[in-house]
Amino acid sequence: MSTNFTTIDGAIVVVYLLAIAATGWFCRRFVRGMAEFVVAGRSVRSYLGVATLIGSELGLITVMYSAQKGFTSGFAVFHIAISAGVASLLIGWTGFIVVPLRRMGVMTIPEFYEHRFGRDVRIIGGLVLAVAGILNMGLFLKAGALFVAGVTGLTDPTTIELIMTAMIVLVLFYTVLGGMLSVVVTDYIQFVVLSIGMLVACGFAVGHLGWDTITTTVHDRLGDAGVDPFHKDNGGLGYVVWMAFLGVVSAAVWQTSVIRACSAKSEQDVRRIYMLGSIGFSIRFLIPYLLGICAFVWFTQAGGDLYQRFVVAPIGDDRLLAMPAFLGQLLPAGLLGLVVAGMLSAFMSTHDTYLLCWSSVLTQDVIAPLHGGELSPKARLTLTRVIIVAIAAFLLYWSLYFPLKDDLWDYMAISGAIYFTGAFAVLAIGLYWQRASSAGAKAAIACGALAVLGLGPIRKELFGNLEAHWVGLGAVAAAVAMMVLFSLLMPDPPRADEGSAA
Amino acid sequence: MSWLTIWTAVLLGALVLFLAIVVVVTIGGARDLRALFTSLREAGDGDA
Repeated sequence: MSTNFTTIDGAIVVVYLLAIAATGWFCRRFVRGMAEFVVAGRSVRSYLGVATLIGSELGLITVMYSAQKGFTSGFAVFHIAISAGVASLLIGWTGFIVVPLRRMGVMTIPEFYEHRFGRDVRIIGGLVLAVAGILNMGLFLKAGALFVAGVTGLTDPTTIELIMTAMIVLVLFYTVLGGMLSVVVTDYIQFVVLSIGMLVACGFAVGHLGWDTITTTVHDRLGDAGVDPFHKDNGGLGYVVWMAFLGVVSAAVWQTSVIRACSAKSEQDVRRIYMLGSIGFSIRFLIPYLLGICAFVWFTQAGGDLYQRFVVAPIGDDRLLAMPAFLGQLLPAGLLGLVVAGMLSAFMSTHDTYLLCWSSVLTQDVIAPLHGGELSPKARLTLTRVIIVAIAAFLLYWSLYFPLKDDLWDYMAISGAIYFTGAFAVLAIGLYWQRASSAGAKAAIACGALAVLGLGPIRKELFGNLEAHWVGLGAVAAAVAMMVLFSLLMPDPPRADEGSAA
Repeated sequence: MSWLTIWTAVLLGALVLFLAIVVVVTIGGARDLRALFTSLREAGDGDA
């Protein structure tokens, strides 16, 4: 497969990645304890918060998966981007969930569980969160490897594995040493490079293909299903509602977003970060959708073997490969290097945030409480760093050497839903309803695991043709119902410090 | 109004807004970054 990627592009990428690692290394001198390591001393103001929020949420996995959605479904998937933006805007405006959490001064969601419901709920919730989160990022490296393969035209799997291993080592290098401070600084740089790179790539793609050609090709090939989100081929109303719920969850319940609220300097900064970040929450889907649509038009027009391979009879990961292969053929040398550097930034900024997030949850919310909270700050810091390395080793094995058979989206959605369906009920009801009890919280967290029934083979066995989004919405409704029911049936004994945080 | 008209408007509006945010956040973020390091350096001096 041909590509415009040259040695100049490779040099641009290598210099950029080394500069990022050096910046992260510089930050280590400011880390004196867990507060600096996990939430950057709670000193992040709004503009920097927005940059890091977008920098970490606009990950390469999102770019790859979203481009695939745009490639297969056309403009109809734009409603997902709108839902994500509107959800972030409403959360910033109302302060729903995130402002009470910042007011309490917690670093993680399970820490809230303990404040509100007791230590055992924190340990259970922390374990479920970390396991779901680590599994959820299990395929990030695979997506990164596919991107590198598509854009550079490399086909040797060993070379690709070596490149991905070097990148994860680079991320480890600065995250282990500088913690959230390194993440904030490097995310800022990555936000600037990535945003400009993606905007330039979009301009180039639309300018080259022509807007009329893009819309005409999508309409001719996909029909109404290519533009109408309520079309039955796109899942109908149920899918639109499920995506709207995911918009709320990814902004207000997913720990890697919430940790930004916890790092903010004030409640006002939390609101501003979410309101300004709402465009970023939309754009992180919209731009990859557009690139995926452009790739579809590009390979449709190309005809021949490329049309057969990517559009007519895609095999395995081919539709994931389509967008990077398209960029490799469209962009000129030099510009391609800058865009690839931006995309690999997305890969690194998501990894650093997620590694820090899940390791701090395991340290603060599972291991430290099991030790009766007697771990010294120094021991916690060391433990968090060791866990970061252990998670990275697991990811390397899982993503590159384990033969995963599941569909990428099924895998991502189900592993995430194991946590967020229960967590949404516990957070939303626990923060705003005085009578919510620890029994209700445990029931809701356990109920969240029902989301695993949405996985393709299990769903078909149990529910026949019922679509996955109905199973997901059902799991959310069940978690909320269990939370209310068990809270009413098994209320907590009155406590001196009892009360809602809202 | 057709779906295609709506999506074209959404895309154009989002791209223009995002471009504005990139400019504002890049400038504001640099200022916040300087303030962050100043406060951390002062905290470090205080500890010493």
